[in-house]
Amino acid sequence: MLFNSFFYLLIFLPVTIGFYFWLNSKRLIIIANIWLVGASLFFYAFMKIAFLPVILVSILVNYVLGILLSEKTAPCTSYSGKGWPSPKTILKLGILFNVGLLGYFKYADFFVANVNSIFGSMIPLPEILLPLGISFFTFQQIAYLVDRYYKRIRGKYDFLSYCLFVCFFPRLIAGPIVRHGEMMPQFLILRNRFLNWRNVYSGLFLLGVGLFKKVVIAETFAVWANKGFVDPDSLNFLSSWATSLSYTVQLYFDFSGYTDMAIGSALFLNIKLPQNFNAPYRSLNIQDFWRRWHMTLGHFLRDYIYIPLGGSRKGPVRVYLNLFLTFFIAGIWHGTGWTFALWGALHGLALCMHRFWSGLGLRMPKFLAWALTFLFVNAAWVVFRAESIPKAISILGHMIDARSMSWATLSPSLMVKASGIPVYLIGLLFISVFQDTVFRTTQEWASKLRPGIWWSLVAASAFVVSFVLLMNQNRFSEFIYFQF
Amino acid sequence: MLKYRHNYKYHAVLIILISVLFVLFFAGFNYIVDPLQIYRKQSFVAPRFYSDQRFQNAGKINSYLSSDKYETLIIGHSQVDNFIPSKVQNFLNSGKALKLTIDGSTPREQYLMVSKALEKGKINTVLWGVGLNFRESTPFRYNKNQFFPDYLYTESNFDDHPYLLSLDIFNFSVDLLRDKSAWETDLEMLNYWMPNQVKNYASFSSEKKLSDLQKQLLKC
Repeated sequence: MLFNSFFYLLIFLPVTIGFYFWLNSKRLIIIANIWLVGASLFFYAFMKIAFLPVILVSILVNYVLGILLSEKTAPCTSYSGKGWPSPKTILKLGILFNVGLLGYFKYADFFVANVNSIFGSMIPLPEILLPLGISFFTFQQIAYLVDRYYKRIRGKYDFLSYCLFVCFFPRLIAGPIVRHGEMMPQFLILRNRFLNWRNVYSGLFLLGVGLFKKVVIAETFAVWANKGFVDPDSLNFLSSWATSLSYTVQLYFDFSGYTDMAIGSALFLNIKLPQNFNAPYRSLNIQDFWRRWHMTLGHFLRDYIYIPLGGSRKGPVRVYLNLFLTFFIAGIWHGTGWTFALWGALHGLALCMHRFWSGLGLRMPKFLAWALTFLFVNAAWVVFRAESIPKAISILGHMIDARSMSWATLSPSLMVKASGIPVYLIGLLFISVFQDTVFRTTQEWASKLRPGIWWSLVAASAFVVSFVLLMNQNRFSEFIYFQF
Repeated sequence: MLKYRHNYKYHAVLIILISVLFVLFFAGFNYIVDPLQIYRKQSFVAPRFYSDQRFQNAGKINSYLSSDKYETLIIGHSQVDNFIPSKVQNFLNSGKALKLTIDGSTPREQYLMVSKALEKGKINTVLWGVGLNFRESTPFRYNKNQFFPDYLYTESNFDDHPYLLSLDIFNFSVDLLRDKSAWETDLEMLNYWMPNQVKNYASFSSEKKLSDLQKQLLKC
């Protein structure tokens, strides 16, 4: 189920929240948790029920491994030395299982396609459908097992709570990636079991603004971005810049809008999810960017890949290698295709260069630092979004080929009519872009929110405008005479 | 009023009310006018019919099939569009005929039309036009190039929100009320390819037409 659907906003969310608090008011706390898990699994299976067994198997296996890793099986307890696998072996098995699951569903087709192209073989592609959110719930469960191994999570843990931890619907599909200690203790606080109107108000603000960012801003820029990425060879200097900048804006507002909606939805249930974006396009260097962009992934990469690889403890050469490897893995995690691997490698290289530059102790003027960071991130998004590396090179080539400048492709037909959006809305979009990147982020606004008519109207208007565009997506277009 | 000005509950309810009332206005308007006649026959304006059969057939099945006592069904893809129901019922000497063809339809889509019609009406004769593309299409799936509105064919109305919350449907509703709709008024001629030549229908298979056709073929 998508957050930006009427079913989620008008039926699923009110029913789930209403019944959850009703059960809690009757002191049926376990049943309330069962209801929340059931609703989350319904949310997950809504688009394709075939994905349900995948998440259930993943939950079950990781839960059992988590029990085996619990304090009773610690290296110096009675289980050791009696043929029971050591905690380290269990952890390795767990990571292997999770990475294997992710690898099978996400990379099997990619692997076979590459084998075919290298060896000229004709192995048929398995054509495996990718279960929704598998990258997120897999990473979250790897983090759980590692935290169990290092005793950051202690004590017995019931299956219901574990299910709630993994499949809590607001963050199930696209994060934020939460660690156990960030979320689960909040379910144990009694006052969180009752409706809190302050949180409902902030949640509505985040949900409304997030919906607006996703439906109005991201999907408008998507029209321009898609147009350019479909046919990169037709672009010139200006239109290639319009394409790349549109995608840079689209991606940020799409993902951060989705995250705002996730945080807002959780807030209705009095659960505070961690911040995931902090105006990343304000960054003054690439390290700063990764502290602001998809922050929970950044924390995961640091704690569960970079530090276990040795971090900065094993000498200067290893630091560079670890940085590069961490972001190369992050690139592969983002999607299947060499474009993602190259995107990760580019970010890894940029972080190495930043580290080298920082070591020299040289300073750069702020504006130059911001411009360099933004231009690099923008160029890297081209690689991330392009259908293939040659197509990415084609767009990047046009972006530096000022001789091909032509105003014709920036005519209103491309910039305005392509999306069917009137000119005044474009002005509104740019105001929105500046609001979130230059001034305050949505969550900064939400944290300072006080009840008042103007804020209420902002939130209500965000819902109303987004609803109009959502209604516009329910097309009843004429049949195109295409196929008998 | 003053004490509510800085009250979280008051403002949260205000946001919910504005948003929900806005949605309910559109949904209510579309439900009442119901341009596709999914819930009832058009009563306060002259009924009109949409040419996209994947959508309109749901209205025909729900609101016309049983009330108008149809007994014959015409099923198939676009070429079967040219069977005029009244001619078919005369030719087959059967009961009143209703056309539920779908352009570019797969057997799966045609099967759905037949099964829904058999479920809702008292059909005893089915004229099923089997096209040559029958074996080429994916028989157990909907046409992947066309959107099929499953929700209009379910018993529940709870999943109808894409219909009720559609700007297109809102515009169709407004056009209907303003009598500006360009949709077909005659159920008989709906989706017929050559409505202007319908008077020549009877002479279509005459010897003269056949000889004309042969001459043209010989020229090629």
